[in-house]
Amino acid sequence: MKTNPVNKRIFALGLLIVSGVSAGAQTIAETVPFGMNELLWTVTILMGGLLLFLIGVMYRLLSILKDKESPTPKEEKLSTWEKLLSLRPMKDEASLTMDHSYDGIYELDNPTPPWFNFLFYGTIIIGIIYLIRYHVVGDGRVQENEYQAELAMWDAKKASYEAKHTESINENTVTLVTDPAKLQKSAELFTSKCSPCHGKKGEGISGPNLTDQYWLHGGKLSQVFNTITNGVPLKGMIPWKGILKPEQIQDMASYILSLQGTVPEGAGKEPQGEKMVAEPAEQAQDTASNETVSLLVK
Amino acid sequence: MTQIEKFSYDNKIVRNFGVATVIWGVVGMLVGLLAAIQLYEPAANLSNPYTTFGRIRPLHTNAVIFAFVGNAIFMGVYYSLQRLCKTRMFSDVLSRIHFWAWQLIIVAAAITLPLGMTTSHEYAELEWPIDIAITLIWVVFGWNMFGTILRRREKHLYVAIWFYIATFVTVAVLHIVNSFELPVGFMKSYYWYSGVQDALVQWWYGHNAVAFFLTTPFLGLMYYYLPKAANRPIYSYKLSILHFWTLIFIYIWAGPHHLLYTSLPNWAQSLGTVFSIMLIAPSWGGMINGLLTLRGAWDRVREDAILKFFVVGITAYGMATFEGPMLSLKNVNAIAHFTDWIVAHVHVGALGWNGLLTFAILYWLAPRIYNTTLYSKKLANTHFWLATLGIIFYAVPMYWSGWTQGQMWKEFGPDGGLVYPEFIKTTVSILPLHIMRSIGGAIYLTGVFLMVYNLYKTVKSGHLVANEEAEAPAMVKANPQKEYWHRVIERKPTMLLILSLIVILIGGVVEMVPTFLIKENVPTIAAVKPYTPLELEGRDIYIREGCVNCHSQMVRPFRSETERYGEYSKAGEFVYDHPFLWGSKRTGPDLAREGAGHLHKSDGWHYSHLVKPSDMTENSIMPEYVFLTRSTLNTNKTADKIVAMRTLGVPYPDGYENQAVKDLESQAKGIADNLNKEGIWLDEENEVKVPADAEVIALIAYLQRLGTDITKSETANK
Repeated sequence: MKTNPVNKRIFALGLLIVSGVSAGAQTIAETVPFGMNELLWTVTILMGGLLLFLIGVMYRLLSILKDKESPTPKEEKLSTWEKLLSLRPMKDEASLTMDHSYDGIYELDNPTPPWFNFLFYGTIIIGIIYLIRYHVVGDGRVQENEYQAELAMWDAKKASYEAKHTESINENTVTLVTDPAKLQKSAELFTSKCSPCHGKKGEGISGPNLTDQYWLHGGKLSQVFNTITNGVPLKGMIPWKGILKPEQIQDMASYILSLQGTVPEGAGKEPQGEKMVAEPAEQAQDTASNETVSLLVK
Repeated sequence: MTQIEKFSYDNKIVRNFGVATVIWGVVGMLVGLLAAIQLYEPAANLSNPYTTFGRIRPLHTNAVIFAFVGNAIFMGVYYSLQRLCKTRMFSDVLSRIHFWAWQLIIVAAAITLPLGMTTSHEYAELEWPIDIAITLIWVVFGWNMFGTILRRREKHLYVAIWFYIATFVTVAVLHIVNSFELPVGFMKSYYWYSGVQDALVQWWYGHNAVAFFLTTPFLGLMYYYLPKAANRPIYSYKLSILHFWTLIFIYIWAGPHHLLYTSLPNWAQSLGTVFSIMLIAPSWGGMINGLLTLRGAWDRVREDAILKFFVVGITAYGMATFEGPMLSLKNVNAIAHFTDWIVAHVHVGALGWNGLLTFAILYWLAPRIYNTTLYSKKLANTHFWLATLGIIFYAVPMYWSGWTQGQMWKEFGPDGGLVYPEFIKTTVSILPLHIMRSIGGAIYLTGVFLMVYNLYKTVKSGHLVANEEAEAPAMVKANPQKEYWHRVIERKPTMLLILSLIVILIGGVVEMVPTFLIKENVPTIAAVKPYTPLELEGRDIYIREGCVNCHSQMVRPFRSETERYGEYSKAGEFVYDHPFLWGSKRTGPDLAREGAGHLHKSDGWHYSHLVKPSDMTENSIMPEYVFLTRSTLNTNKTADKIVAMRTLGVPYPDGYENQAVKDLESQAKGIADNLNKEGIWLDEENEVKVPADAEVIALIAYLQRLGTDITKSETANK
């Protein structure tokens, strides 16, 4: 077969395709836990490949649609597209036609295009390298190791984040919130998140009554904060720490305490747990003038 | 000069399969549209058991794959095989049996799937009696096809027939191996395999159902109808040899790419990835040979709707078979798996490749067997544009949706916590895209209605040539000398069949035998115990309702998943799972750890959630399962189920079946008491308690069991 600049170009194209694939394979081997950059990189290759292909097809279709005249006169010259695909000129067709036909269908004796072979054998080589990398020399970071590395990375990140954000609210630092705007937000959150079990007014359904003076896990602000944060998994209350921010839990605990006595005795669920005097008295003193809190101390 | 023989082609059977293709196509797509609407409008579940998403989705997939595409394959094969072999079909009786029995199987599927009779294996949901019927009818098809081939007047087999033969033999192997079930009733069975092994077998099957039911037969059809429609020679004979053999050999290995990052052993996952990459070239070989066959006919593509369908269909095939290997790269799979991306991917293949090629063949065939011309070329062109537009409007929103949701599941804040810890937020964010997708589907379906009208008018204008007269020289006895090596195989159909069989068996054997025989592949966990009778019954309800269609049970080893769901899933946790229920799509959250750790909720929560999901999770799109509170658990088969499970290797003590129902009742009473304590009523106004024998109790028991074994044990890793 003649070698000419066309074949070089085909080679370059093949290289481009295969390098796209191998870049994808490569990123697996080097996968440090997921970062957006790496994801974007892979997906860009993927989308880029698809896009190039689509553009090629569309270009081809468009050129047909534009080219209203019959293309027969320029049979002698191969288009760039045809050269890229290493096609033979149409005039060779008669000599390529094989001597048999099936129900009138003839076949041409075209060789498999070189770029096709390049793609085919290229992917096989990539496959072999992949298997060696993962299962013969080293482990190429199999999924268990990849997971451990991801955990370690986040543990480090978390540690440095927490070092910078020491002021975060916990059960020791939680304080009663009286800001009506914040309590209003908590009331809305209560309706969507808590009312399925505790009732729209906190009167209790499957979950206990939150408006009476009886508490299963303590009625102090810090205790309520703790119950919301960690949940009561055995009884079916989920921990909310991953879902609500500590500040939101502080607001919610304050809101729940503000519900004390809002539902008349007997109208809600029967009392459960120990009776505890309304809490939190110590914080309430400071803001006794506030209407919301005055509810709490009655 | 050899003697010219006169005979006739059977066109009636082609017509019959064609009519069935169109009817089932419309039905399958309508059901698909309903399912798509259910995903943003839960009221479309129509509050009855039979039309809930979990039962409708398998109906859609089965109808489209086996009814629409299946009939299209038979239509295309029965027409082309006769002409390529220059003979009538081997037996008209077998043809008729094949046609009517296949339609009966489809009707049986359309009845049993909405009734909740399902094995839960994707694309293999039909229960054992139907599996047996499929096997028998497949043999009828093969018998008829091979009889025809053996009576041919053409010395060599054309490439289309190679693909037909490979399809026949591989689908037979896939179907039989994936149907090893132990019946426990007329329409209920348990898979022979469990957990990891069951998953491997299922996805070896599932992947190759795509390969050998949706791909190879259609490549065969392409090799006949494309050169016919374009009146051009096939571009390369050598390429067809290379891509045929490499395609069928490599395809079989790639099944594990459906199970990346699961509890499947790493070596099997790697084989799945590697063979998927190697599959690009063999797949593209078909596309190249198709598109280059159009060389010299491109000017006709402008006018001819049939050629347009071919071009876009083949291009869709090329795109889907490039995307498939990309999705098999582990880092891409990590984002795309369980999301709508996969749904987009399969629909590019199904709507693009299978749909458009089927339409092209229908438009080409109908005028020929009715000896007339197509009623309206303009309508066919409009159909083409609607179909293309429909695919774009379907696929683009789904890619967008898959990417969006996949990213939301994984996103961490700077504090290392999930940004979207509530799954529902990720669901709500993609609902507009689901609406757009259903519009895309509706556009595509509109095109199909135009085709129905066009074909109807075409058929009305002609007369069926039921027996088309033909003539051909008798088969030459002597074999040619000094042939190209492959030409020898082409004149020996039995050899071709056996070679194909060997080639497709290798991959499956290499992957399955070690997974079944080598114990290290599934490390056992001492704490994992068999399900209690009530949990087992609850699991069967979970299977019946098709919960697996929306909920996975496979926590992958990513921090984003272990933070959300708890410890990642281990192979040893699934050893008593006949069948496995890992799922392939997370429309709702994963349930592998639903009963354990921070996901654990009260029995009352589950009850309320099943009755009215949106009460417990605002904006939930889950169907309401209120009917489970009114239906009574049937315990007649409980003892048999325990015995069946013991036969399959689940270590229930001898004689436990006699005690099973008693245990079941006492566990159920415990849950009913809990509900009562939580203040839950079946009917609050009249103070009617939830009865302990309600089906919902069993389902709650199963959900509460999920993931609890491993948390009991500190030695979970070994």
